[in-house]
Amino acid sequence: MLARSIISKRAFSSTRFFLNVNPKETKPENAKSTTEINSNPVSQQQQQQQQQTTTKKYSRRPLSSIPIGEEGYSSQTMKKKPVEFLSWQSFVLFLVVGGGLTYLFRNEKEKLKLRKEAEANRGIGKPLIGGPFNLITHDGKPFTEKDLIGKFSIIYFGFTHCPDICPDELDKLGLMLDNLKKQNIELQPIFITCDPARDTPEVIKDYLSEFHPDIIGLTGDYDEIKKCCRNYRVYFSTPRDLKPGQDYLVDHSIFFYLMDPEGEFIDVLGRNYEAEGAVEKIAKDVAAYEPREVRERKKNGSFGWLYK
Amino acid sequence: MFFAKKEESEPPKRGKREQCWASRDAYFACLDKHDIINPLDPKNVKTAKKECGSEDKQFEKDCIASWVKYFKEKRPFDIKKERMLKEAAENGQEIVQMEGYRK
Repeated sequence: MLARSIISKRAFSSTRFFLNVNPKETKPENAKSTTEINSNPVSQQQQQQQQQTTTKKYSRRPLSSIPIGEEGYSSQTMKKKPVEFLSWQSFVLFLVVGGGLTYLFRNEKEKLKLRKEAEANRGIGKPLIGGPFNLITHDGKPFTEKDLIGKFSIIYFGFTHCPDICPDELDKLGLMLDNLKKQNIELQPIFITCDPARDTPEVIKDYLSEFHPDIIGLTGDYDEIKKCCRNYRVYFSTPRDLKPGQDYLVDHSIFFYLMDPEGEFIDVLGRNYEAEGAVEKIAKDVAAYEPREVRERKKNGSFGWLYK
Repeated sequence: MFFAKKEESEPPKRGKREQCWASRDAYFACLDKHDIINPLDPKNVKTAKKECGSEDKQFEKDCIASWVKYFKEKRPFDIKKERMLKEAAENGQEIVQMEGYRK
Protein backbone atom coordinates (compact mmCIF):
# COMPACT_ATOMS: atom_id res chain seq x y z
CA MET A 1 0.00 0.00 0.00
CA LEU A 2 2.85 2.30 0.90
CA ALA A 3 4.57 1.52 -2.37
CA ARG A 4 1.43 2.28 -4.25
CA SER A 5 1.18 5.67 -2.70
CA ILE A 6 4.79 6.38 -3.57
CA ILE A 7 4.19 5.41 -7.17
CA SER A 8 1.17 7.57 -7.46
CA LYS A 9 3.07 10.42 -5.89
CA ARG A 10 5.95 9.96 -8.33
CA ALA A 11 3.64 9.61 -11.23
CA PHE A 12 2.09 12.86 -10.44
CA SER A 13 5.25 14.71 -9.63
CA SER A 14 6.13 15.30 -13.26
CA THR A 15 2.65 16.38 -14.27
CA ARG A 16 2.62 18.62 -11.33
CA PHE A 17 5.79 20.19 -12.57
CA PHE A 18 4.33 21.03 -15.91
CA LEU A 19 0.84 21.89 -14.87
CA ASN A 20 1.89 23.60 -11.72
CA VAL A 21 -1.06 22.11 -9.91
CA ASN A 22 0.50 22.48 -6.57
CA PRO A 23 2.75 25.51 -6.38
CA LYS A 24 4.12 24.39 -3.06
CA GLU A 25 5.74 21.33 -4.60
CA THR A 26 7.40 23.11 -7.53
CA LYS A 27 10.53 24.40 -6.01
CA PRO A 28 12.81 26.60 -8.10
CA GLU A 29 15.46 23.82 -8.16
CA ASN A 30 12.97 21.75 -10.11
CA ALA A 31 13.72 23.71 -13.23
CA LYS A 32 17.44 23.20 -12.97
CA SER A 33 17.83 21.48 -16.28
CA THR A 34 16.01 19.27 -18.67
CA THR A 35 18.55 16.51 -18.39
CA GLU A 36 17.59 15.93 -14.81
CA ILE A 37 13.98 15.44 -15.70
CA ASN A 38 14.89 13.27 -18.64
CA SER A 39 16.98 11.01 -16.49
CA ASN A 40 13.96 10.35 -14.38
CA PRO A 41 13.31 6.79 -15.58
CA VAL A 42 16.93 5.80 -14.96
CA SER A 43 16.78 7.08 -11.43
CA GLN A 44 13.60 5.20 -10.88
CA GLN A 45 15.26 1.95 -11.82
CA GLN A 46 18.24 2.58 -9.63
CA GLN A 47 15.99 3.43 -6.81
CA GLN A 48 14.00 0.32 -7.36
CA GLN A 49 17.10 -1.83 -7.27
CA GLN A 50 18.37 -0.14 -4.13
CA GLN A 51 15.13 -0.52 -2.34
CA GLN A 52 14.81 -4.07 -3.48
CA THR A 53 18.14 -5.10 -2.05
CA THR A 54 17.48 -3.49 1.33
CA THR A 55 13.82 -4.30 1.86
CA LYS A 56 12.16 -7.18 0.13
CA LYS A 57 8.75 -6.91 1.65
CA TYR A 58 7.34 -4.91 -1.26
CA SER A 59 5.48 -6.80 -3.90
CA ARG A 60 6.07 -3.94 -6.26
CA ARG A 61 9.29 -2.09 -6.78
CA PRO A 62 9.23 1.22 -5.02
CA LEU A 63 10.29 4.33 -6.87
CA SER A 64 12.33 7.23 -5.63
CA SER A 65 10.75 9.01 -2.79
CA ILE A 66 12.81 12.11 -3.33
CA PRO A 67 11.11 14.61 -5.62
CA ILE A 68 13.07 16.06 -8.48
CA GLY A 69 15.31 18.89 -7.42
CA GLU A 70 15.26 17.92 -3.77
CA GLU A 71 18.59 17.82 -2.03
CA GLY A 72 20.35 14.56 -2.64
CA TYR A 73 18.35 13.77 -5.76
CA SER A 74 21.05 14.37 -8.33
CA SER A 75 23.75 12.75 -6.24
CA GLN A 76 21.61 9.64 -6.17
CA THR A 77 21.10 9.48 -9.88
CA MET A 78 24.32 10.80 -11.28
CA LYS A 79 27.66 10.19 -9.70
CA LYS A 80 29.50 12.34 -12.19
CA LYS A 81 28.63 15.54 -13.92
CA PRO A 82 26.95 14.61 -17.20
CA VAL A 83 28.34 15.67 -20.56
CA GLU A 84 26.36 18.57 -21.81
CA PHE A 85 25.61 17.96 -25.47
CA LEU A 86 24.60 21.46 -26.26
CA SER A 87 27.49 23.28 -24.67
CA TRP A 88 29.91 25.39 -26.63
CA GLN A 89 32.76 22.99 -25.87
CA SER A 90 31.00 20.16 -27.60
CA PHE A 91 30.21 22.42 -30.51
CA VAL A 92 33.87 23.34 -30.87
CA LEU A 93 34.84 19.70 -30.54
CA PHE A 94 32.35 18.83 -33.26
CA LEU A 95 33.76 21.48 -35.57
CA VAL A 96 37.37 20.51 -34.96
CA VAL A 97 36.89 16.78 -35.31
CA GLY A 98 34.44 17.08 -38.21
CA GLY A 99 36.52 19.62 -40.07
CA GLY A 100 39.71 17.69 -39.48
CA LEU A 101 38.27 14.44 -40.75
CA THR A 102 36.71 16.12 -43.78
CA TYR A 103 40.04 17.67 -44.69
CA LEU A 104 41.89 14.41 -44.16
CA PHE A 105 39.50 12.37 -46.25
CA ARG A 106 39.35 14.89 -49.06
CA ASN A 107 43.11 15.06 -49.15
CA GLU A 108 43.50 11.32 -49.17
CA LYS A 109 40.78 10.90 -51.75
CA GLU A 110 42.50 13.28 -54.12
CA LYS A 111 45.85 11.63 -53.56
CA LEU A 112 44.28 8.26 -54.20
CA LYS A 113 42.77 9.56 -57.43
CA LEU A 114 46.10 10.96 -58.60
CA ARG A 115 47.86 7.74 -57.69
CA LYS A 116 45.33 5.76 -59.65
CA GLU A 117 45.82 8.04 -62.62
CA ALA A 118 49.57 7.80 -62.37
CA GLU A 119 49.30 4.04 -62.09
CA ALA A 120 47.11 3.92 -65.17
CA ASN A 121 49.62 6.10 -67.01
CA ARG A 122 52.52 3.90 -66.04
CA GLY A 123 50.85 1.07 -67.84
CA ILE A 124 51.43 -2.59 -67.43
CA GLY A 125 54.58 -4.10 -68.81
CA LYS A 126 55.81 -1.75 -71.48
CA PRO A 127 55.33 1.89 -70.53
CA LEU A 128 52.88 3.86 -72.65
CA ILE A 129 55.00 6.98 -72.60
CA GLY A 130 58.74 7.03 -72.16
CA GLY A 131 61.33 4.39 -72.65
CA PRO A 132 64.98 3.98 -73.44
CA PHE A 133 66.81 6.69 -75.33
CA ASN A 134 70.40 7.53 -75.98
CA LEU A 135 71.08 11.22 -76.49
CA ILE A 136 73.76 13.78 -75.65
CA THR A 137 73.48 16.88 -73.50
CA HIS A 138 74.35 20.40 -74.58
CA ASP A 139 77.70 19.85 -72.85
CA GLY A 140 78.37 16.82 -75.03
CA LYS A 141 77.84 14.24 -72.28
CA PRO A 142 75.76 11.13 -72.91
CA PHE A 143 72.27 11.13 -71.42
CA THR A 144 70.01 8.10 -71.29
CA GLU A 145 66.78 7.10 -69.57
CA LYS A 146 68.95 6.03 -66.58
CA ASP A 147 69.68 9.68 -65.87
CA LEU A 148 66.00 10.16 -65.07
CA ILE A 149 66.29 7.87 -62.06
CA GLY A 150 66.48 9.41 -58.60
CA LYS A 151 64.64 12.65 -59.28
CA PHE A 152 61.44 13.96 -60.76
CA SER A 153 61.99 15.19 -64.30
CA ILE A 154 60.02 17.42 -66.60
CA ILE A 155 60.60 16.90 -70.29
CA TYR A 156 59.82 19.33 -73.06
CA PHE A 157 60.18 18.74 -76.77
CA GLY A 158 60.91 21.71 -78.99
CA PHE A 159 63.45 23.26 -81.32
CA THR A 160 65.62 26.33 -81.18
CA HIS A 161 64.23 27.98 -84.32
CA CYS A 162 60.75 27.93 -82.83
CA PRO A 163 59.10 31.29 -83.54
CA ASP A 164 56.86 31.96 -80.57
CA ILE A 165 55.54 28.98 -78.66
CA CYS A 166 58.72 27.24 -77.52
CA PRO A 167 60.44 30.32 -76.10
CA ASP A 168 57.17 31.13 -74.36
CA GLU A 169 56.91 27.65 -72.94
CA LEU A 170 60.54 27.59 -71.87
CA ASP A 171 60.08 30.90 -70.06
CA LYS A 172 57.04 29.38 -68.39
CA LEU A 173 59.13 26.36 -67.45
CA GLY A 174 61.64 28.70 -65.79
CA LEU A 175 58.86 30.28 -63.73
CA MET A 176 57.50 26.86 -62.81
CA LEU A 177 60.91 25.63 -61.68
CA ASP A 178 61.45 28.68 -59.47
CA ASN A 179 58.00 28.39 -57.92
CA LEU A 180 58.43 24.68 -57.30
CA LYS A 181 61.82 25.30 -55.70
CA LYS A 182 60.11 27.59 -53.21
CA GLN A 183 57.95 24.61 -52.27
CA ASN A 184 61.09 22.46 -51.98
CA ILE A 185 60.28 20.48 -55.09
CA GLU A 186 63.31 19.93 -57.29
CA LEU A 187 62.69 18.93 -60.87
CA GLN A 188 65.22 18.00 -63.49
CA PRO A 189 64.14 20.01 -66.53
CA ILE A 190 65.00 18.50 -69.89
CA PHE A 191 64.65 20.06 -73.31
CA ILE A 192 64.77 17.58 -76.19
CA THR A 193 65.11 18.97 -79.68
CA CYS A 194 62.92 17.78 -82.53
CA ASP A 195 65.32 19.36 -84.99
CA PRO A 196 68.55 17.41 -84.68
CA ALA A 197 69.85 18.60 -88.04
CA ARG A 198 70.25 22.20 -86.91
CA ASP A 199 70.30 21.83 -83.13
CA THR A 200 73.81 20.69 -82.33
CA PRO A 201 74.96 20.66 -78.69
CA GLU A 202 76.63 24.05 -79.21
CA VAL A 203 73.52 25.63 -80.71
CA ILE A 204 71.35 24.30 -77.88
CA LYS A 205 73.83 25.44 -75.26
CA ASP A 206 73.84 28.93 -76.69
CA TYR A 207 70.06 28.96 -76.95
CA LEU A 208 69.41 27.67 -73.43
CA SER A 209 71.83 30.16 -71.89
CA GLU A 210 68.95 32.65 -72.07
CA PHE A 211 66.58 30.44 -70.12
CA HIS A 212 66.55 28.82 -66.70
CA PRO A 213 70.08 27.61 -65.87
CA ASP A 214 68.88 24.16 -64.75
CA ILE A 215 67.51 23.15 -68.14
CA ILE A 216 69.42 20.33 -69.77
CA GLY A 217 69.28 20.37 -73.56
CA LEU A 218 69.39 17.05 -75.37
CA THR A 219 70.11 16.22 -78.96
CA GLY A 220 71.30 13.24 -80.91
CA ASP A 221 71.30 11.83 -84.38
CA TYR A 222 68.11 11.83 -86.39
CA ASP A 223 67.19 8.21 -85.68
CA GLU A 224 67.77 8.48 -81.95
CA ILE A 225 65.62 11.62 -81.78
CA LYS A 226 62.97 9.99 -83.89
CA LYS A 227 62.91 6.94 -81.60
CA CYS A 228 62.78 9.10 -78.49
CA CYS A 229 59.93 11.22 -79.87
CA ARG A 230 58.02 8.12 -80.81
CA ASN A 231 58.43 6.75 -77.29
CA TYR A 232 57.06 9.97 -75.86
CA ARG A 233 54.26 10.06 -78.40
CA VAL A 234 55.58 13.30 -79.80
CA TYR A 235 54.77 14.02 -83.38
CA PHE A 236 57.25 16.11 -85.33
CA SER A 237 57.74 17.00 -88.94
CA THR A 238 61.44 17.54 -89.43
CA PRO A 239 62.52 16.37 -92.84
CA ARG A 240 65.33 13.83 -92.83
CA ASP A 241 67.44 15.26 -95.60
CA LEU A 242 68.07 18.96 -95.70
CA LYS A 243 70.15 21.27 -97.74
CA PRO A 244 72.64 23.05 -95.48
CA GLY A 245 71.33 26.41 -94.33
CA GLN A 246 67.79 25.62 -95.37
CA ASP A 247 65.24 27.59 -93.41
CA TYR A 248 62.24 25.68 -92.18
CA LEU A 249 60.03 25.26 -89.17
CA VAL A 250 59.28 22.10 -87.25
CA ASP A 251 55.75 21.25 -86.43
CA HIS A 252 55.59 19.34 -83.18
CA SER A 253 53.28 18.55 -80.30
CA ILE A 254 53.61 20.81 -77.30
CA PHE A 255 53.62 19.02 -73.98
CA PHE A 256 55.45 18.89 -70.72
CA TYR A 257 55.93 15.36 -69.47
CA LEU A 258 56.31 14.80 -65.75
CA MET A 259 58.41 11.73 -64.96
CA ASP A 260 58.78 10.10 -61.55
CA PRO A 261 62.13 9.26 -59.88
CA GLU A 262 61.92 5.78 -61.37
CA GLY A 263 61.89 7.26 -64.83
CA GLU A 264 58.24 6.46 -65.41
CA PHE A 265 55.66 8.79 -66.83
CA ILE A 266 53.19 10.35 -64.37
CA ASP A 267 51.42 13.22 -66.03
CA VAL A 268 51.28 15.44 -69.08
CA LEU A 269 50.75 19.20 -69.12
CA GLY A 270 49.57 20.90 -72.25
CA ARG A 271 50.10 24.44 -73.42
CA ASN A 272 46.76 25.40 -71.92
CA TYR A 273 48.28 25.58 -68.45
CA GLU A 274 49.53 28.79 -66.94
CA ALA A 275 52.65 28.61 -64.83
CA GLU A 276 50.71 28.70 -61.54
CA GLY A 277 48.26 26.05 -62.68
CA ALA A 278 51.08 23.81 -63.82
CA VAL A 279 52.95 24.31 -60.54
CA GLU A 280 49.86 23.36 -58.57
CA LYS A 281 49.34 20.24 -60.64
CA ILE A 282 52.96 19.15 -60.39
CA ALA A 283 53.05 19.78 -56.63
CA LYS A 284 49.98 17.57 -56.21
CA ASP A 285 51.44 14.83 -58.39
CA VAL A 286 54.71 14.93 -56.48
CA ALA A 287 52.90 14.79 -53.13
CA ALA A 288 50.84 11.81 -54.27
CA TYR A 289 53.86 9.94 -55.59
CA GLU A 290 54.82 6.66 -53.98
CA PRO A 291 57.79 4.53 -54.98
CA ARG A 292 57.03 1.30 -56.79
CA GLU A 293 57.90 -0.78 -53.73
CA VAL A 294 55.25 1.00 -51.62
CA ARG A 295 52.69 0.72 -54.42
CA GLU A 296 53.22 -2.99 -54.79
CA ARG A 297 52.98 -3.51 -51.05
CA LYS A 298 49.73 -1.57 -50.90
CA LYS A 299 48.33 -3.43 -53.87
CA ASN A 300 48.98 -6.75 -52.23
CA GLY A 301 47.87 -5.58 -48.79
CA SER A 302 44.42 -5.86 -47.28
CA PHE A 303 43.41 -2.49 -48.76
CA GLY A 304 44.55 -3.54 -52.21
CA TRP A 305 41.05 -3.25 -53.63
CA LEU A 306 41.34 0.52 -53.23
CA TYR A 307 44.03 0.57 -55.88
CA LYS A 308 42.28 -1.50 -58.49
CA MET B 1 75.93 34.11 -99.54
CA PHE B 2 78.14 32.20 -97.10
CA PHE B 3 77.38 34.69 -94.36
CA ALA B 4 73.64 34.38 -94.89
CA LYS B 5 73.87 30.62 -94.61
CA LYS B 6 75.58 30.83 -91.25
CA GLU B 7 73.00 33.23 -89.91
CA GLU B 8 70.20 30.92 -90.95
CA SER B 9 71.54 27.97 -89.00
CA GLU B 10 71.70 29.91 -85.75
CA PRO B 11 68.46 30.40 -83.90
CA PRO B 12 67.45 33.98 -83.10
CA LYS B 13 68.22 34.84 -79.50
CA ARG B 14 65.96 36.63 -77.07
CA GLY B 15 66.80 40.14 -78.25
CA LYS B 16 66.29 39.20 -81.89
CA ARG B 17 63.08 37.39 -81.11
CA GLU B 18 61.65 40.38 -79.35
CA GLN B 19 62.71 42.66 -82.17
CA CYS B 20 61.04 40.32 -84.63
CA TRP B 21 57.83 40.22 -82.61
CA ALA B 22 57.79 44.02 -82.36
CA SER B 23 58.16 44.40 -86.14
CA ARG B 24 55.46 41.80 -86.62
CA ASP B 25 53.12 43.69 -84.33
CA ALA B 26 53.81 46.93 -86.19
CA TYR B 27 53.07 45.27 -89.50
CA PHE B 28 49.90 43.65 -88.18
CA ALA B 29 48.74 46.94 -86.67
CA CYS B 30 49.04 48.45 -90.13
CA LEU B 31 47.07 45.57 -91.63
CA ASP B 32 44.41 46.03 -88.96
CA LYS B 33 44.17 49.69 -89.86
CA HIS B 34 43.44 48.78 -93.47
CA ASP B 35 41.15 45.85 -92.66
CA ILE B 36 43.41 43.25 -94.17
CA ILE B 37 43.01 39.93 -92.44
CA ASN B 38 45.08 37.69 -94.62
CA PRO B 39 48.02 39.45 -96.27
CA LEU B 40 48.81 36.29 -98.26
CA ASP B 41 45.41 36.20 -99.91
CA PRO B 42 45.99 37.10 -103.61
CA LYS B 43 43.28 39.77 -103.55
CA ASN B 44 44.95 41.47 -100.57
CA VAL B 45 48.55 41.27 -101.67
CA LYS B 46 48.40 44.47 -103.67
CA THR B 47 46.77 46.62 -100.99
CA ALA B 48 49.03 45.18 -98.32
CA LYS B 49 52.08 46.04 -100.32
CA LYS B 50 50.83 49.53 -101.09
CA GLU B 51 49.67 50.46 -97.57
CA CYS B 52 52.06 48.49 -95.36
CA GLY B 53 55.05 47.97 -97.64
CA SER B 54 57.58 49.62 -95.34
CA GLU B 55 56.35 47.76 -92.25
CA ASP B 56 56.46 44.52 -94.22
CA LYS B 57 60.03 45.20 -95.25
CA GLN B 58 61.05 45.86 -91.66
CA PHE B 59 59.22 42.70 -90.57
CA GLU B 60 61.06 40.61 -93.14
CA LYS B 61 64.34 42.20 -92.15
CA ASP B 62 63.93 41.50 -88.43
CA CYS B 63 62.59 37.98 -88.71
CA ILE B 64 63.96 34.91 -90.43
CA ALA B 65 62.01 33.90 -93.54
CA SER B 66 60.32 30.87 -92.01
CA TRP B 67 58.99 32.98 -89.17
CA VAL B 68 57.61 35.62 -91.49
CA LYS B 69 55.72 32.93 -93.37
CA TYR B 70 54.55 31.33 -90.13
CA PHE B 71 53.26 34.55 -88.60
CA LYS B 72 51.53 35.64 -91.79
CA GLU B 73 49.80 32.28 -92.08
CA LYS B 74 48.86 32.29 -88.43
CA ARG B 75 47.28 35.72 -88.48
CA PRO B 76 43.88 34.78 -90.01
CA PHE B 77 43.46 31.99 -87.48
CA ASP B 78 44.26 34.23 -84.54
CA ILE B 79 41.80 36.83 -85.78
CA LYS B 80 39.13 34.21 -86.30
CA LYS B 81 39.63 32.88 -82.79
CA GLU B 82 39.52 36.35 -81.31
CA ARG B 83 36.30 37.12 -83.18
CA MET B 84 34.67 33.91 -82.08
CA LEU B 85 35.43 34.65 -78.45
CA LYS B 86 34.23 38.22 -78.85
CA GLU B 87 30.99 37.14 -80.50
CA ALA B 88 30.41 34.53 -77.84
CA ALA B 89 30.87 37.15 -75.15
CA GLU B 90 28.50 39.54 -76.94
CA ASN B 91 25.82 36.88 -77.27
CA GLY B 92 26.01 36.32 -73.57
CA GLN B 93 27.61 32.92 -73.94
CA GLU B 94 29.73 31.87 -71.07
CA ILE B 95 33.41 31.30 -71.70
CA VAL B 96 34.51 28.70 -69.23
CA GLN B 97 37.86 29.44 -67.73
CA MET B 98 39.38 26.14 -66.72
CA GLU B 99 41.26 26.18 -63.47
CA GLY B 100 44.95 26.82 -63.98
CA TYR B 101 44.51 27.27 -67.69
CA ARG B 102 45.79 30.26 -69.58
CA LYS B 103 43.33 32.97 -70.51
